[in-house]
Amino acid sequence: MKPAGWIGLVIILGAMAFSAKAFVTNLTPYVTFDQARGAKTASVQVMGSLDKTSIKNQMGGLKFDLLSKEGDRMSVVFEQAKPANFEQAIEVTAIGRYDGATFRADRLLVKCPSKYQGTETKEYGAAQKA
Amino acid sequence: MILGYLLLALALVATVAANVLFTLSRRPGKESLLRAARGAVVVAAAGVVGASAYLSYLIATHQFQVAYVAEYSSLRSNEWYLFAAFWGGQEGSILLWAFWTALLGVVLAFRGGQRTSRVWPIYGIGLVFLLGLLLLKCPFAVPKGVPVPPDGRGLNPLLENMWMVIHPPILFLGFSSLLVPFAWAVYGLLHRDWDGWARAAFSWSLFSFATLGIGLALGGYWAYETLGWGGFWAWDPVENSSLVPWVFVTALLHGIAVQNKNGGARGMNIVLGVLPFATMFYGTFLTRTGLLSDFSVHSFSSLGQDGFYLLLSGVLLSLLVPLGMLAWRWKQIPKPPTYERVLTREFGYFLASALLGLIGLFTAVGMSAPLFTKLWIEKGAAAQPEFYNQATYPLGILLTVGMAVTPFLAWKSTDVESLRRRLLLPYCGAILLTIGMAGAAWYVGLRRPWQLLLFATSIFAVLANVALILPRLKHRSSRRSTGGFIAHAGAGMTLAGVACLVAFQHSQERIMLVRDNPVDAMGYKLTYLGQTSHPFDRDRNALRIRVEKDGRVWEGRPRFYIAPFGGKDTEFGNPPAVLPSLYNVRGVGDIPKLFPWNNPFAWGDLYIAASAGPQTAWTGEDGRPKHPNSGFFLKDQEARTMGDYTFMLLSLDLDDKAKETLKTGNPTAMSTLPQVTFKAQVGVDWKGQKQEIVTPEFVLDQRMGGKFSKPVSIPGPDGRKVLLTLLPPSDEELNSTKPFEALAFQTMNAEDPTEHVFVDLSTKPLIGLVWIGPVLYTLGGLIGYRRRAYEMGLIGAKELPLPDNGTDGEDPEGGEESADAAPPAAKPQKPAPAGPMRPKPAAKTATKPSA
Repeated sequence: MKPAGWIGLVIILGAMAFSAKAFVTNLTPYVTFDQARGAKTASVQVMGSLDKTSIKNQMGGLKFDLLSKEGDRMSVVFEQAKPANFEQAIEVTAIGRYDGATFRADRLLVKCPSKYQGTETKEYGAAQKA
Repeated sequence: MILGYLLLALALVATVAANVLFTLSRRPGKESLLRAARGAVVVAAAGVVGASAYLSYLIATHQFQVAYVAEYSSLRSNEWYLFAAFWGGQEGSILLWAFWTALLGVVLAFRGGQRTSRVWPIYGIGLVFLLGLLLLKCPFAVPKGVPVPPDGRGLNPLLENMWMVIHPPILFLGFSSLLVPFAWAVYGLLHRDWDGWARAAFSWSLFSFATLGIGLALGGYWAYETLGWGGFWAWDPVENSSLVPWVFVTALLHGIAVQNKNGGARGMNIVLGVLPFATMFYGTFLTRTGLLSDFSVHSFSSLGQDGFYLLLSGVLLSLLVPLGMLAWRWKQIPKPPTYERVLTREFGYFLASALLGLIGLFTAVGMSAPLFTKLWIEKGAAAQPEFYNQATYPLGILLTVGMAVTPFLAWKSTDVESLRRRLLLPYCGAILLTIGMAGAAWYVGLRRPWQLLLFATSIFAVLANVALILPRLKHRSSRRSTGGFIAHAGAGMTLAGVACLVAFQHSQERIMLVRDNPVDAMGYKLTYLGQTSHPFDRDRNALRIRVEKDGRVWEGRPRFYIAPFGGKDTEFGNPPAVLPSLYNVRGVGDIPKLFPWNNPFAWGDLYIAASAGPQTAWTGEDGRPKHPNSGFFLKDQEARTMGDYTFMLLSLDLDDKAKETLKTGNPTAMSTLPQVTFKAQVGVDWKGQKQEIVTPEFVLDQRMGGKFSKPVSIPGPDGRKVLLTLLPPSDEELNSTKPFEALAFQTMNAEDPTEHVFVDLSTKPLIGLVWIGPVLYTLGGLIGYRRRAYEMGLIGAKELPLPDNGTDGEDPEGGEESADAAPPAAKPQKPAPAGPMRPKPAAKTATKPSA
């Protein structure tokens, strides 16, 4: 093969390998609350219905409880701005990790009975503050 | 409404007719059918345009029996948001998509040159698909057995801004235009016109690049301005599904540039011609069928099962059929001798295509992760934004290097010596300047090697291209050829801006600001001054945050929305939502941003987002105030319980002069009065312990040019006061002769010393670069488009001759496209001179690895 071809091939294969590694390290699986409690180090996502009586938005951040379909309860802390429309959320997906007592969310997906698109999900969290 | 359905059905029938007529017109002696076919295309477009006009009419006249109108517009919407309600929802946005597709179809039918009768039917199949989808998911649907709502729900207040009016039409114009390169690529494959299609598709793909590119950038700017999370790109599936086609279409541009030059990259270009449209369809499929609803921001509501299968078949048809056929015919593609040297422009372009293709591929893989990871993870897994950042970062660096180096390289045919002599000086200058700027960046703190590298290569790309632009500005003719350089400079700028932003932005979250107590944060002194009374906009409110630095004072107003969702009557018993939004200080009230030497924010923004609306010490256990901290509506003689209060509207009164004027029966006479006062009499009951009758007012003042509320205080907990404000009605309501149906009120703490808010503060240094970049690459794309469209004549003047191997009709694998089966119009053509196409980089992309 010509040198140009080799250079192209090396770049393409290198990028592929690099992205495959990035892909594997940045996957966050959807898990149940129990699995989240077990996987203390890995970033995971959990989903549950929002217990509206549990919402506290104070100095330490936004705190709330999620309830799974099985009735399991998980308290979540989110240290960024409270998502728009949060009180009206039906379901919340939290992405982050369990620290032994609460689930510390880096990002939230908030699903509201929306005016815009039937059910609308909005994402919050500065996902890539590098 | 039946008329809408009829117009869409007419468009569908006319499109099918156009397909048949175009196909028939290819027979010898039947060329006259071409006119009829073009007529049918115009009829189809007229049908879609008519349907669009009709939908606008239904929205403007508040025909709430139509579900779509009731869902996305309301009596309270002003004319701009009524206009925007057109594409506020799923059905309307599909109609918008069809609208542009039908109009571009007209352009293609009249400007497609001698290949029109072959390419249009392929385009037509796409349009038929879209119209079918539209009939399935129709904005004109009238629900049966549902009472007509008195008012619609209206757009989400977060969407009620200028961007909602501008962004979707541009974005969908870009989406629609992708079908043209697709149709050309499939045509080229079908008729073995390996070079003709690429030449014809070049200007179209430049057009797609420019429109989709600016659409993406506007979406990012919109997110930055209204969502308040501080960034502009989150690698969300919906964002990705517009990014991927754009990246592929950009790859196509570079591939076609190579092919036009030396006939290389023919096979790759067919793939790249098919992918933008196919991936857009795939993205639509992913985001609009609810497949990703657990993984995405704004996942659209499901299209239903029919829509699911229609879209799925569209994806398979648009992707698998052309690619399968390409594999089948791969050996038939004439291959030129491959390039031998690395340092040629051909190779640079080829590499750009490959790198862009990889970015598109990785992004598409990432956004599909929730689907295919189900193979080994029970509930699936999503790729986090870091994946995209990491996977595209090195590619971005390579691209910027390519953008800087490639334009200086010679095509094989150019005289290398003269090029070197001409360019050596500016090039060395660019290199030296880059080193200088990277050194400066290092000095001020850009120390991480990868960030510094991206910054340096991006700046290099900017400077190198500027060095190429400057000498071309002298002459009109050479100015036309600056498109690619401008686009590359823009792409470099955006990436340099991203590198700076990532390296230098600082933020501090949840700063608690107690009213009137200054707080120091990140070198700024912040003071919460209270809320704006906002007499002009009853849905919105803002926190007044005073910002001081170096003896100068600004006021930032992060908004939050008091959202009476559901209009005047419904859904209003609940405490309404307070939606935090962002605000960036733009030198409000002091020095205009235009003078950068005076303004610390000129080189970036100070971004203040309200993370929680006003709270007081007597906020309840649940974090919500014990009193209703927002707006509500009252009808005459209606009582409503809000938190600890019960309100009752006893009467609405005008001042005497206004009353007299009103008696004259001339509604416009009111507006001639210098001042009109409205008084509402409201009975207030607090927990059954205290009762009072209060009269909040608002004043319309012609001389002051505004509406002003005079709030009253009502009893609150702990002996404190709460303000009850009568919110002025909209201009529309004022100018209407109808009596007010309901009055809007709002309660808030009256100068409670414990009132406090939480804000997030961040700096966005040099974010201007991120916004200038897209403007430049769009401009570059349009300049390139104009040049190519001109060169191509778009009238068929300089087309390549039709290939003589065009034995169409023998393609069993043509699938639906077999409608094309007809012998070619055997017109012997003189080979047109392949115009002396000056090499010109088309336009490269900017990925945004971070926000």
